[in-house]
Amino acid sequence: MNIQHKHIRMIEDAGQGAPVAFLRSSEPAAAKAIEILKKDFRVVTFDVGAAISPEGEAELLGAFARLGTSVGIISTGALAQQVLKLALQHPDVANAIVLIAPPAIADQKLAAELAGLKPPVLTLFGSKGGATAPEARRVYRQAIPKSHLMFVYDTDDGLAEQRPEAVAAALRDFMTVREGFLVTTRSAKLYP
Amino acid sequence: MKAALFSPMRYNGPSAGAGWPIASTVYSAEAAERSMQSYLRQFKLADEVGFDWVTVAEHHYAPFSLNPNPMVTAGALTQVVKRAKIALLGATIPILNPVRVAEEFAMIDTLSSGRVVAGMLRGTPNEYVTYNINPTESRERFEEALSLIRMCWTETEPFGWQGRYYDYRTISIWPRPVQQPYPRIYMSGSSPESAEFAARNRVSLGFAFTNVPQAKKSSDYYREQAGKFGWTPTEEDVIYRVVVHVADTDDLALEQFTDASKDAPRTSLTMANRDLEASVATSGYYGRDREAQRQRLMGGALKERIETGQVVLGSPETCVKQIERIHRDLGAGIIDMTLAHDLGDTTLHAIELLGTKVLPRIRELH
Repeated sequence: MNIQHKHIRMIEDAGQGAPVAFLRSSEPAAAKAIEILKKDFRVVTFDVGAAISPEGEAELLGAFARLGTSVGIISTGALAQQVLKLALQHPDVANAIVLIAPPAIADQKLAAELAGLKPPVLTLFGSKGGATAPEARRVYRQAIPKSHLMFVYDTDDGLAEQRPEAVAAALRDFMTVREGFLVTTRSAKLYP
Repeated sequence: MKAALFSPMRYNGPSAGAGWPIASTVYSAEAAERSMQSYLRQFKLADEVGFDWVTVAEHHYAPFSLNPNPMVTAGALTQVVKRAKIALLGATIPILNPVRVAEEFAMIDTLSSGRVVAGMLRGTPNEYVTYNINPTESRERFEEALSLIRMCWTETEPFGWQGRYYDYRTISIWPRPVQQPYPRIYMSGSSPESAEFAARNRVSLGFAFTNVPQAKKSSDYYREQAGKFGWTPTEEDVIYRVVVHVADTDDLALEQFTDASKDAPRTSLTMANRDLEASVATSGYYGRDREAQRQRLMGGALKERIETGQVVLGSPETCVKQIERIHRDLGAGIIDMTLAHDLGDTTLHAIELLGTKVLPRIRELH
């Protein structure tokens, strides 16, 4: 995909497999984890700036439509709440959402509306803590019906850079089978 | 100063050979049952005569200890020990399932109405053979397991864990600890790496299979490191475990202890299998202070062991003096008194003497 947008910028379209949209601000983020994810998914990276404007949202929806009937969406940091709003307004766009180190939900109206969110959501936080207080990170799980909280050991808010393999593994499993990721399919058998 | 009574829960019956592991060819179920009942009686008495804690620990594959799962023992103790804290010093967390450990500690804390003390150890080197865990990874596994256990105790929403050694997709333990946010945690602190980790993570320290000069060196380093992280350990943050035998007179105590020691192993569990220990040593298990760590596990003459605070032996008056010296030199707030031998009524009498004539005196030490 190579389309010129005015309000968002497509950084890269790489990898093979089911489509995943990685939304980030202008600051590069999670590069190593995304690189690993490309082995199993077609990952399209968008720079949406500091926030997604209404025009940018329209461009994103157009880009998603070209990728398939629905996409997995990954976002980092402060974009989390805009991704959730997008998924609320367009329930069939995302088949799964992963939020990496999202901040506290300050918008109480949004928090109340999240009860109606359709896609499953995985929120990833560092085990060493970060900017989001424990009570605030719990809100994601309490407010979103199909929501999962996961800690990446020995990391903080920079988890995707600090342990990219661990983050990519969680992303891969969740994007592949969504809520089925709770059940491992990894064999523990040592020898036949 | 507080006092704990520790028993390795040695098997008192026929057994074959020395070393580790030990064959169970001549094992007697009746002797094992009798041994366990005897230890439950000792712990019950310790509670009645005023010990602050009773202590159990995990060891495997040898008559040295009938306690491969101290959680089970602690569960039984919750029904026998009504007042004292029940300390597990400890669970060997790098070889166990950390979530299970968190669940079991929470169960014991609930069963005991908040009296559990959570010792988390790396264990003796031989324990890595028990469940076939690579000792090279011992310290990293320990640190991650402890972090996960704390998260199990504090996170109230179901959560997943993407670790280096452990991964879980959803965890939500029931019951939860009675003590909030969680029971006091102790770890072994003999190596510099352990002291640094404990200081960084505000964990209390225990010293066992060592002597007072070595423990003091480690304890001083722990306090120095804690200062760097902005806190000051209290006396109760340091436990010192020591072998104790007390009788009505010094001569009687010496005679009873010497007789009982005749058939006992000359070395610690760690050094019971030298080849195995040497293999573990080359794995990096001990850390950067390897030779000092190994040296402290070697046995010694009784006189030397008393002088260096490895053994407290004698009449109540003599024992008080020896404990006072340990307290003065080390500054430990809790002395974990090890009953190295089960001598039946003699041991019960020793526990009574400790409770009535030693504990009231050492309680004044600050």
